[in-house]
Amino acid sequence: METLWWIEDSKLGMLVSSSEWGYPIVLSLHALGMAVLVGVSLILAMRVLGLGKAIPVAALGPYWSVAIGGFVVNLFSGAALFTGSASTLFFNTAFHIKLIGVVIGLALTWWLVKICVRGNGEVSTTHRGIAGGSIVAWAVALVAGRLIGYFS
Amino acid sequence: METLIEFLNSTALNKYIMSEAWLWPTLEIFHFFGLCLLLGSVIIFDLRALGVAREVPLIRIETFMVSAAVGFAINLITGIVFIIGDPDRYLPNIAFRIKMILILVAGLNVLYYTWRLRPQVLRGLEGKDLSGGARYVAALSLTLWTCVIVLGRIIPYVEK
Repeated sequence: METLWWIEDSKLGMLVSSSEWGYPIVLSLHALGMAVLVGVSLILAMRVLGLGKAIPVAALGPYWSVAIGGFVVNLFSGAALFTGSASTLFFNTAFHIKLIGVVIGLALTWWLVKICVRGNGEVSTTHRGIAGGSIVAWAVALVAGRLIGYFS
Repeated sequence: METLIEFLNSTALNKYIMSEAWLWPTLEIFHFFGLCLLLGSVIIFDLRALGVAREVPLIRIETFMVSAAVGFAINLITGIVFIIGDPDRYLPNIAFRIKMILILVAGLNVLYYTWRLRPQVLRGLEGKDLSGGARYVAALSLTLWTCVIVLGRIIPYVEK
C-alpha cells in the first residue's frame, strides 16, 4: 500500500492525476493504441476464420508490426494511467480481468502470426481455434477495461 | 439547438436510456468494439494504399471496406443512442462538434474514393498506375479517423 501511494505521489503520477491535460492526453493515446492493437488483431483473426479468403493470409504479415506499435503505445500509456490511480486500480477486479485478457489476447495473436500468418499459407483447424480464442480474449479485455470506471 | 435538446430530453427513449443502469456501459463497450473494427479495417486498407503489405491484392482490399462499414454502423447506432440519452452532454460540446465534422469529411473522402479511385482498383490497377491521389486519400483517412478517436475520448474533459 505504501508503494502504491508512493507511485501516485511520483511526478508522473501527479502529472496524470492532477494536471489539467495529463489525464485526457494519456487516455486518448490509450484509446488509439487499443484501436490499433485490437483492431488489427481482430482483422488478422477474422481473416484466419475466413473473412476475405481471396487475400493470402501471409500477405497480412506486415500488419503485425503495426499491431505491436499499438501495444507499445498502450504499455507506456497504460503504465502512466496506472501511476495516476495506483492505489485504487491495484484492487480493481475489472482491471485484473482486463490485464489477463490482454496477456492472453496478445499471446494468442502472436502465436497465430507465428504459426499461421508467417507459416506456409495453409489455415488449419488449430489456427481457427487460436483465432477464435484470441477474439474472445480481446473481447474480455475490452469489456473489462471499459468497466474499470464502474467498479471503483 | 436548445429546442432539439429539449425535444430529445422529452422522448421516451431518453427516459429509458437513463433509467437502465446497465445500458450505458453496454453501449460504451459496443462503441469501443466498433471503433476497433473500424480503425483496424482502415489501417489495413489505407496502409496498403500507402505501400505497406504489397502482397495484399489491391483488387481484393474491399473486404476491409465491409468490416469498416460494420464497425461504423455499430458506432453510428450506439452513438445516436448516446445523443438521445444525454443530449446536453454531447450537442453543445466542442470536441463532439469537431468530431462530427471530421466524420463528415471522412465520409466525403470515402465518396471521393468510390467515385474516382474504386473503378481503377476494380480494373486491377495498382500503385503508380492509380491516378487521382490514392496516397493522399489514404493518408487523409488515417489522419481523420485518428483525430475522431482522440476527440471522442476527450469529450468529457472539455465540458464547460
